[in-house]
Amino acid sequence: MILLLPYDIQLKVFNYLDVIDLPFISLANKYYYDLLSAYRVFGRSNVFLMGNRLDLQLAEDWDNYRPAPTESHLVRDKIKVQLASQLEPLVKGIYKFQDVAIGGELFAKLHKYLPQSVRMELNITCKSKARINWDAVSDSAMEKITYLKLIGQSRNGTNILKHLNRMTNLKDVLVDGVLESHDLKTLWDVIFNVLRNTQATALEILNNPHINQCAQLLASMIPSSNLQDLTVCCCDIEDEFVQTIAKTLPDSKLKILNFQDNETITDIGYTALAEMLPKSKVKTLNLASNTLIVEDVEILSEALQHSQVTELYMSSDYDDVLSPLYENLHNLKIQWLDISIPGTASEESLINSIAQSHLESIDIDIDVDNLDEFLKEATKSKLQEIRFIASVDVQERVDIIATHIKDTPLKKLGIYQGCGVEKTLVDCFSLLSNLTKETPLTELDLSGLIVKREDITLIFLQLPFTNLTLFKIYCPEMTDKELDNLIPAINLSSLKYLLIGGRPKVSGPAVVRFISRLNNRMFRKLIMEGVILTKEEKRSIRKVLGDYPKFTVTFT
Amino acid sequence: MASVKLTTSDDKEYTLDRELIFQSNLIKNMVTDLDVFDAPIPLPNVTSSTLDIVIKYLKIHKDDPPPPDKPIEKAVDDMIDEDKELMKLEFNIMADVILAANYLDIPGLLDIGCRTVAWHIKQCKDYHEIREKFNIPKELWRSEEEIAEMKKELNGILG
Repeated sequence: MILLLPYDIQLKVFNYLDVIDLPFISLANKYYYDLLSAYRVFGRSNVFLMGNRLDLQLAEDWDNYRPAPTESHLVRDKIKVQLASQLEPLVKGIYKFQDVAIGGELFAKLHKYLPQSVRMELNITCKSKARINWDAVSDSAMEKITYLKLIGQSRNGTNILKHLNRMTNLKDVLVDGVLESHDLKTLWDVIFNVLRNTQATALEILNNPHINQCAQLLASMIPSSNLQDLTVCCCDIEDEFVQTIAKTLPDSKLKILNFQDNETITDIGYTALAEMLPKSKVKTLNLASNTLIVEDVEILSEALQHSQVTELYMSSDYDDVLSPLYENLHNLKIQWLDISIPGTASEESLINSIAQSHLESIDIDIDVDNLDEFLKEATKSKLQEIRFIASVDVQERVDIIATHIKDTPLKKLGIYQGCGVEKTLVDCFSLLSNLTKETPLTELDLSGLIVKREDITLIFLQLPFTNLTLFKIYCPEMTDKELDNLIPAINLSSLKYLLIGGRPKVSGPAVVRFISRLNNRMFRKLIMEGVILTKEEKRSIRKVLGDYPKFTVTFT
Repeated sequence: MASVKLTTSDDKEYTLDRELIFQSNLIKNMVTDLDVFDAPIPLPNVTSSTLDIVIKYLKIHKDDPPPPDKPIEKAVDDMIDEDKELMKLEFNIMADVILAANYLDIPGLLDIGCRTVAWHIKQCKDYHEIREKFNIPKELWRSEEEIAEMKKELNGILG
């Protein structure tokens, strides 16, 4: 019967179904899934169309505290749908697009149907073999493109460069992939066209060592372009390249300069950069994962004093090279510093200068012996946010942080373990028990540590006595009993956002019970990692939350 | 009270109050814009048995305020008892009513028709029941291999 109804009516019917119903219907009929899923989710969320496959992704707005628009958010944050030939008529029904990432081939095919309001991320990848006739794509469709990603090398990627001037709303262009030397012209074309023919403010070039040969072209275009963000990462850039770009800084609009992951830069390049930095408008400088030596840091620190840089990334595997930076910290305008590296010899100078610095946020791996002193000084500083990286002595560090937590002016605190280090079982109760309503801390991220089962309830019982609005915790040993115990505490707390990570051992009925008893009016978002629910349980949750839930639940 | 004449596809003629039938935007526009008053309006896509059901709906809702410009999202089974009763139809008749509502441009009827179909889909326990209930022909079934593959993928997605 329903097969006889026209598309637009079928879509109306499907609009009354939940996302969780769709897979089951798709098993009943060859083409329903594509129709149903696409329509249902298109209307309400961010959509990613890649190649001949749809990746529909519901908005995940951890940082953006807005309530979710529909119940679609309840059950999953991502669905993948095979593209069907029925897609075209379907797209006509889409009217609430917001952000779309789309493959070039599909974009060219569907451009006529895309609504006015859509913002488009266009992905052209090396796998795209079909020849796309960009001339046939209307100007109004081209105007929707704000972000162009050229990944690898393809004929379509080259061809679209001739049409860049039609993308009048282009903001960002990314070129990712190692080009062969005979394809160098493509890179030249990208740079030339982006900077000459568009209003783009960001150019990101990744994994392209041939960029070294484009330095002159890039430098000649930068001053007359609108470029504010230049990212050249993992490109083995040479000193000559840095020198050439540095010369343009006084005349450029660049605010972000990102040369991360380029171990090939030496003191020659850094000297050139340091010389021009004070004359530039650069506010964010990223030299993370490069091979800096003490002399480089010395010369850069001196330059930073006279620059406008407020955000600095200098993490690296090399120990103790940052002393000159720390010693000079009180003279710098740096507010955001990422130095997530261990370096005990330098730490003393960091501690000595932190109270006088302008730092508001820091990522740091500080030695356990220096932690107490660091926190004492941090209490006197302007720091509002610290992300501690702890690879060893984790429990000891947590205990030390706990003794200072009451006195610090911090609003945000995170404790994580270093890259490649397995999470450790840690007693975090002391940390929570030292928080009071007088403590300014509002965001606490402990998702990098494992919380003991016996501590879970105790920790949550502390929440009503804190100002925490965001809490992330990792408890693989959590069971139904602990989950039940959390409810009164959460209801009495100021929490808005809660993440329970670590695939807790909680049952579906307990999760349903938990959600149905949450009545904290402040609460906005719950994320539970690795919790498996049945279709019925998901339905129950949807029923509890209603069509316009006051808070959203995501199971990842 | 002024009336409007309609002729169904099976040549049955109806004379209906304007107030009642003007819930159909199609008829309302035809009458007011095209000034069609006396001549019967042919409805080649609507049979008399379908129109009878449509008229029942119009009578239930004759005193309703005009529908809002933007449709209000409602739960699938959020409808008045009379509408629920009206929609207790065989699926092929329900499809005809939905098509008629679409053709005659009666948004309220189209809405409850679509919602009723969705409600029936939601009542199905599994895809076997959907196939059976909606009489989905075998040629549109997915193969068992495809289903196994999809289930695997869906488990990952729904995780």
